[in-house]
Amino acid sequence: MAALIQNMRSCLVVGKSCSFTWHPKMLARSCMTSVQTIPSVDVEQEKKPLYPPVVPSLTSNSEVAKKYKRQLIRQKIASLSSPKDKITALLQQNRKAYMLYALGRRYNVHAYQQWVTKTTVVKQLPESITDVTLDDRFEQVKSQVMDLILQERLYMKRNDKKWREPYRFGVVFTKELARLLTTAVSGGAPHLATANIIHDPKVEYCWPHTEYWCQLLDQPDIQILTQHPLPQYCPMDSDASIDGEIPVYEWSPSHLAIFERTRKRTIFPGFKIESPTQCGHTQFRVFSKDISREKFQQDLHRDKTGDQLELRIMGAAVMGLFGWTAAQAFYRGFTWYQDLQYPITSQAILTDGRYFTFGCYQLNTLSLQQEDNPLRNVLFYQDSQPLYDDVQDGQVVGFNDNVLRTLLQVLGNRTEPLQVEWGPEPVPFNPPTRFNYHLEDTQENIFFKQMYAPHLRKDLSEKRVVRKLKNFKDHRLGKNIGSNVKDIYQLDSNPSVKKFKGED
Amino acid sequence: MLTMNASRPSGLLLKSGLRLAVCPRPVSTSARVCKGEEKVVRKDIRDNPSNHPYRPDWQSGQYYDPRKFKSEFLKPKRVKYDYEDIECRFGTWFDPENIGWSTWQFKKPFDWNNSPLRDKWEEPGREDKNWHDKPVYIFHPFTKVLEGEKHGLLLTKSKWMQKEGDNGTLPQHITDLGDSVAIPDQDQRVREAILYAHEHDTQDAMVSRNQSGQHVLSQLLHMCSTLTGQNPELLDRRVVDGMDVKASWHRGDDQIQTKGKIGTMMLSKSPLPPFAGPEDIAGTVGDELESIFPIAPIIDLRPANIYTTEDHTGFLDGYSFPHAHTLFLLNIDRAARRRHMNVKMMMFAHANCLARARNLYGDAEMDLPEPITAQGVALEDGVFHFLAYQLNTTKLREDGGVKNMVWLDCGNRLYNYMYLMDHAANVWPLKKRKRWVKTNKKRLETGLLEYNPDVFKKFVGMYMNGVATAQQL
Repeated sequence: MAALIQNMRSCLVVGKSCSFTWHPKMLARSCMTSVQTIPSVDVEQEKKPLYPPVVPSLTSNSEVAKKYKRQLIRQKIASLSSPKDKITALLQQNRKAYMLYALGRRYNVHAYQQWVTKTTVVKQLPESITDVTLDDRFEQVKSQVMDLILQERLYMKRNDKKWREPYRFGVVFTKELARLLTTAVSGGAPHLATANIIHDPKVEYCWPHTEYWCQLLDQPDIQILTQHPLPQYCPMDSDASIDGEIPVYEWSPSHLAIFERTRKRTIFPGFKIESPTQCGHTQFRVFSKDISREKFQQDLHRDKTGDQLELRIMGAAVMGLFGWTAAQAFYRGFTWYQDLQYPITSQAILTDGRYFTFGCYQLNTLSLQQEDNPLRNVLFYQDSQPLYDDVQDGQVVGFNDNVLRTLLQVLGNRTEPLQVEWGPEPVPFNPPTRFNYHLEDTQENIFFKQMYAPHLRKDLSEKRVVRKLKNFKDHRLGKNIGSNVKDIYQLDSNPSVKKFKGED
Repeated sequence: MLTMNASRPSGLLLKSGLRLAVCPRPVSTSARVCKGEEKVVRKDIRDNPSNHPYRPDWQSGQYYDPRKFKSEFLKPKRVKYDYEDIECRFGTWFDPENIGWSTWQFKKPFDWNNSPLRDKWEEPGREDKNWHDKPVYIFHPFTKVLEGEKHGLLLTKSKWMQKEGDNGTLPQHITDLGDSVAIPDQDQRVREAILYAHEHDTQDAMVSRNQSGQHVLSQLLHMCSTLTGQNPELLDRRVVDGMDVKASWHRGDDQIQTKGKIGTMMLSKSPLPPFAGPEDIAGTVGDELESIFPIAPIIDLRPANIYTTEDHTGFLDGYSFPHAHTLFLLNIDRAARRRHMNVKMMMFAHANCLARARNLYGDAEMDLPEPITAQGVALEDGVFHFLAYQLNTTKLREDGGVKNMVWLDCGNRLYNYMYLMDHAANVWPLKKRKRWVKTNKKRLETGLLEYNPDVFKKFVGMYMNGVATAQQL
């Protein structure tokens, strides 16, 4: 508030009849503080301040004091060294937050998902993916994958009806495919040999958006964790990261069946922070039959909403990858208030068992609550393509080599050890001091001591000190520390004074 | 109000232990509806029990049987309003059948089970097309047989090879193979996998046994699959979840069937080589099966009259990975003991081998020219059981002749995981000085304990079997 008024000072005239003026008291107060809090640089260098800076009281509930306290708390949290402590400290309070899930359920929900994650979409895979070279075993892997398709579509004889449903088919097929491809690729890719492959992890992430809080609850089907992170797809100051287009959605999200709930806020990328493999490589996400292509084809005839399937898959990629990557960023010590210094990346493969969609996400910024933040997150995205057309007469028809090649390229994207420091720069926590017994005798602390610690004053006569001490009640001890004191030379042996000083 | 206070029951306690409740005294009668100047008093059972429409003889202070409270007091109540007293209100109508004002009555909630709309389920009988007069005895994944391994050996007509007391060992070449194969950072990575499965997987304090077991298994399989770089033959393997198997055979006069879903199975393009040579097979002729008399071997198997005797291995003909390599069983049955896991593994390996043998050599009962083999790994909570099974004969009717072979190595504890818990709540109280005391036993050690690297070597040996031998490596 104070800064705002300071900037607007030239426009403000007290008492002028316009539609709105500041309250005179408010104006006076803000002007006073703003005069004091903006010291010019040369003055600062010339002489040290005589008194400690005037800061709002910690026991006041005024707006300024609240803001100051919040700022102090944030500074304290930023100064913590362990990311775990940071997360714990930041998530102390329960809040009302919009519950978000990766798969949206309403028309054009992808616009909101992009807006709330501040993601711009580039409809093309990055060059670092398309440049990955495949080794000569491609044909062998291809025949293996065709075998796998035949196995799942044709040869498995499973009694249960539920295995035949498309959702189950997709999940089972994708798990087998992931197992097969990691086996096939791992010979040439050392990062997959030491990877950790997790089925059905839970991914949770919460963040403040401009006006409200969001909480993402997600459960991808498979995630692959590696020891080292993936390299960035584009530099942080590239066009897409700065000027990328983001749809604006400034209505209430409840129009999209996204509702608020008070819940424990959580940040969890699917593994605890003590886990040795800390970097997400690739996520597999399987779509169930309720967004099947057949159903959307029907919708195409009925409502002309046929492109919604692609958009929803894209939105799921945006949400899932944002939450996962941002949660990992928190494990590296970055927070909403300490933004990223280097981009963090991860990949996703989205499928229903036949159509494959690829997304590569680059997280450039975490602080989405900040309105003047120029950075955007970027999703590199390739529209879905079928891996094969059909199975006829015991043969796979229309096998698409490009999809398999992209699959292998995405999985084979090499990780690199980080060149820079893992976390953000350490932040010192030096709040303006209030009274403390252990302070040295600088000029400003003498000021405090005069006010709060008469028995430490050297300029007072003995009798005055004793008199003052009789009335000096310390709230931490709950009693007068000087009640039994006859002269000040007893003070060194006085147990309550000792205790007060912390010597006991 | 006619309510019972459960914490301080009132009434009369009979010698028989029954309690008679007491009817409460009436509360002040309620004046409900005003019409003109007069107060109209409506009788309400909630005010006085004697206002009950069917039991006006109930008086306050009278004892009644609380078990009959429902039937006595909560019968459907039909209130007939006097139409001088009350106008037609919402939910009230003049019913010509009742000749008076009627209101909605309380009904019992609709019970589908008792409703006449429900089709009565009848047990399918002789009219079923798969009915047989002679029952088959089914071994399904949740069967727990009485006599343990001995029982399983008897059902499959097998001999336990290399048995040493209660336990046994695997064939020598498997353990040798396991010792000679090395995965980089093997122990470290196994430890990490276990830690992940139990600790890092979740935000909760503990992970369920099934979940952690599933993760440990998949992670160990992933680690083994990284050997594909050195051994490209491993690409001819396939790991499949949720396989079915079904096979039936005669044992004496009884027909026995094994069917159900096995957990995870590794399949391969080429069959596993046999574990024992023809001399060893011929040597089993002289051995006798251990009897469990007076118990019949079919005890605990589920008899069924409606069945088919066809057998299948879980996939159709023409499949390119037709040979079962290893069976991975994860114990999801909390009641199952070690012996039950072993028997289950044995029975399902046997059923799979039998189905494959019949596919190859036809349904005739014979001593197989080439034995058929399968392996099994069962795990629960860090304990691994290993099995090697060799089917030598399909002549299972009689006890004599050639036997099948079983190698079992059970109770290998890979690790023990202890969670940090406040243990006081779970300790069984002991009586000390006339009091029941719960001693607060704190767990001294928590986390990953008793890690044994040799167990994973055996696992790798079973995985690599059929691809390489210890001499080659």
